[in-house]
Amino acid sequence: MNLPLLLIQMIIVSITIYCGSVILITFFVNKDKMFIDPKPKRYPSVTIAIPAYNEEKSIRRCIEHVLKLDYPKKIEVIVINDGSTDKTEKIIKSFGNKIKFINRKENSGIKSIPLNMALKKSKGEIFGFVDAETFIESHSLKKLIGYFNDPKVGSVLPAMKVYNPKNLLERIQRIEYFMSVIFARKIMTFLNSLYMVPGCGFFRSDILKRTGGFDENNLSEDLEIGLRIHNAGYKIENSINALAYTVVPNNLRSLTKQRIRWFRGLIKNLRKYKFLIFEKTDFGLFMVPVAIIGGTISIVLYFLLLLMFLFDTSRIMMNFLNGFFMSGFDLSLLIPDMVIYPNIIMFLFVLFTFIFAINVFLSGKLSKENIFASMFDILLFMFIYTPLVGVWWMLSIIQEIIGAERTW
Amino acid sequence: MVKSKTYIVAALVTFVLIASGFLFNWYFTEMRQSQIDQDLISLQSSISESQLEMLYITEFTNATCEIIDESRSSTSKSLYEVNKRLIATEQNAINPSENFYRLKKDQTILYVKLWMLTYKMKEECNTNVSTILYFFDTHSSDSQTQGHVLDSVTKEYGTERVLIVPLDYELDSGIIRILARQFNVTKSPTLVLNENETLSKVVSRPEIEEKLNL
Repeated sequence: MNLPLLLIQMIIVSITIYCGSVILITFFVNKDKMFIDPKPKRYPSVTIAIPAYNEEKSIRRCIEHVLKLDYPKKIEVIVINDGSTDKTEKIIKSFGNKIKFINRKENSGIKSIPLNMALKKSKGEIFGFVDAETFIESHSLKKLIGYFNDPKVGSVLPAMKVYNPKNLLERIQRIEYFMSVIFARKIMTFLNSLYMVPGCGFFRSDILKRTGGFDENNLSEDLEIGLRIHNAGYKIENSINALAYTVVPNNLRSLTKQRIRWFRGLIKNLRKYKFLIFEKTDFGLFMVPVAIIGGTISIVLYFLLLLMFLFDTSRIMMNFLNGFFMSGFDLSLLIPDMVIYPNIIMFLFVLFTFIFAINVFLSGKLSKENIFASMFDILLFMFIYTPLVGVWWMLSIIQEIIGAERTW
Repeated sequence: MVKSKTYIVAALVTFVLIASGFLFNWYFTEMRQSQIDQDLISLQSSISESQLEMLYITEFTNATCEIIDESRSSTSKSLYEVNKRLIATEQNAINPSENFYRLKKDQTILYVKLWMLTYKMKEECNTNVSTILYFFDTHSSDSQTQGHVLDSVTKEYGTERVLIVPLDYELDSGIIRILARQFNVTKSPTLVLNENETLSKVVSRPEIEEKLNL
């Protein structure tokens, strides 16, 4: 047995089992609270901002859904056209006085700028934003607003699902969303460790205004604002019953670009908020180390697979092919020895798969998804998509090291 | 509030599961070794019996060799199976134990005994069997390639027609050293065909077939 490889595998599996155990224990301790949203004691006034840049395909749907939100009070809707060159402006204007319209002639290149413009004009006690490619279900605001009963809650997120996944890549991202976006985020709230507000989120306006609004020098403003809320001593909550849908990248190139932007944003923001690491909170002791180690694991896993292939598997394969050639292409050599010799690698693989399967099952249950109909996508997610995360991490780190320009 | 209890329980669960993995590996390695041990004991008596029969035939009677050949064939087949299991045990063990190397030596001794019996039978009974002494080391790529070629020969002709005696060049064994000196073996892989031709290279199946007249 290749001992260095076994050692690396042991480290990876130990970390995975540890994180998996923390997640499962947290789930079972809090399983009765998973679907229960607090009833609102009162309904605060709400402003929702929708920044849009060249979103002619989705902006109408996004605004219509915000206008259809079921809420006892009138919602202030501010739509910001951020220098679009397509029909976005025209579509926004077609909503007339149902919305407040801010028109920027030039694109700012960063979402924080239009969001801050809306924040300045907003009158709501709660400030929410919805990305133009995202749309929120009518019942969602009512479901999540009760979390603001707790004065320590600074922000609340709905659960995010993938809208109408068509091709294979979109279908695999659907699995990723219901596993890591819905399930993992809910678990993170019980550890007070949710640290990002992507796509759609609601905040106490006074906290946002007091802490300076969204960071205008940050491409990952959704992450930065989450860390800032933590730093200010507030919690971020998540309602599983409140649903929002988003469109995901439909090709590998856009997906890679998106993920590199996210990971570089994570690296940049963790550097900015490095004092939060190892502070005596669940966030500092568990979540931040997991985010850092998780990234490292992905890289190690990727390199491990590469190393195994280059130094081990390829050597075995070459020897076999040589033997196959020198035996005059004896086909009987292709028939594998059917005797199975159980060993530690098999044990760890089964364990790994078992933890993954429990995760899939609970995630499916929580997000009300039919996992049995998605088995093929789940397998692809496990064996192909997960190593890809390692590639993205690696590319992000390389770009950070060489100081490549950050682009949207 | 930090959920210390959760983190401690998770650490304990992790420790128990990883420890179970090592226990699992240890248990199955021990179980396999114990089975191999049993098989080798039974093969030991079978070979000793065949050797005794051989001695009896050559000293006292002109009786037929067929009976001994049957026993030789079946022992040869069983040893081949044991060898396969030993290889798999070595590949799957985290760190092969002393016990494993003892089994490997026992197996080598039995193989050499079987080879000597076969050699004797070729002389006394004109038994139609070819022998290959195969010197290898487990870490060399050439040895692994040669192993696949010899596997192919065995699959084609069977252990009763071609006896391949695997001799681990790295194993600390007196008999392997003696055989290596006798047949001028200095590196692995080396094949000694029918006790008269030493080939220190990877030999293809067609070449083996040609030299052994298969």
